Amino acid sequence: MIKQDLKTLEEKSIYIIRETKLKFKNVAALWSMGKDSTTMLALTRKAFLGKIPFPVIHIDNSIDFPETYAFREYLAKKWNFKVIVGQSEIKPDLVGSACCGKNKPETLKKIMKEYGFDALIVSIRRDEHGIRAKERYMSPRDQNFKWNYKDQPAELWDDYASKLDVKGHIRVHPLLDFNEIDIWQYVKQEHIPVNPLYFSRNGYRYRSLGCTHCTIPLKSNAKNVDDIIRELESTTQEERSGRSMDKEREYTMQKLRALGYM
Amino acid sequence: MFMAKANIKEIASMLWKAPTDQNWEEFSKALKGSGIVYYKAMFANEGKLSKMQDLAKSSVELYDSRFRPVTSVPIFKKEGKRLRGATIYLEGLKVSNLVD
Repeated sequence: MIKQDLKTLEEKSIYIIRETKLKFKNVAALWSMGKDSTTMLALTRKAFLGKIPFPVIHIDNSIDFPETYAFREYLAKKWNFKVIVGQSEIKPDLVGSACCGKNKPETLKKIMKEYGFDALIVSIRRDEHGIRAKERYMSPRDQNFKWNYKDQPAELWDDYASKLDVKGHIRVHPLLDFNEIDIWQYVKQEHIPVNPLYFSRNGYRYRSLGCTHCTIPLKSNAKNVDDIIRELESTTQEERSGRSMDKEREYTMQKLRALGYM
Repeated sequence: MFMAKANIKEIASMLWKAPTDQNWEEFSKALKGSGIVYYKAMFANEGKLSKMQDLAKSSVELYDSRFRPVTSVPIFKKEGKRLRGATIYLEGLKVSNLVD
């Protein structure tokens, strides 16, 4: 796994987060309590002198891990930011990709409409998945949350699509250039708190976190951040190999994202 | 400890009959001092839920500090006709990856 210069990555991310706050009237950020979105919050605090100047949204399907809920309460109090919790109903006919593709975006749509957000910061990275590699730093979504990945604005010389042609919102992706190992290097450097599920217990750990239904632990003895970095330096396993929805069918993730999945 | 375990088993059977907010709150209180340390979410039909029945059969298995099973509770709560997950009531427990 290629390691990049953390200072360069940090500066770019902070620039994008500050641009977002400057260019849009009503900004929010999505937070899954995972390592990436928590790193994004740490970068936001760095960009705004220790504050998070916009609300943070958690789309809660109410079967997240209890450790995840505890981490939400802990960090929101420690860093003093507002969390909007959007609760979705569990529908047994909508599971796997259908569950993530419908339940979560539907709940997010309601929140976006209620609060009138015009920009949403999402902590995806290009190296996570092929379809996420097609994303832009600022990516327009129409009012039905649809993403036309075949027709995206070019981002040349730091010129981003910060204006909407149609009614909808802009997805902002400040962590696009980070790799998984960069995230952990940054977590180590900045002492960012992370969900305890990332660390090995009984020979297993979660490498990518979703809900209790679709996330499977992987064999690992990494008990701290240093161990995780060492493990990533030598692993050939995919990061999201413990996420069942990625495995259902070819192009599942592409379809999910086109329909509004985060 | 024995009494606390007996109490949690009674509340667990109450939850299977009526997974209401009130019963879940009772469960949450009884969890402290019950000796339960680990939990594992178990989804029916190998996780391929397709009917309401599959979800109703899904459970959370609860274990003590030596991974001995204590009892199981549903994974959902009922709010009127709506089903919502209830893993938030397991806060403080650790996920067990050891028990299959």
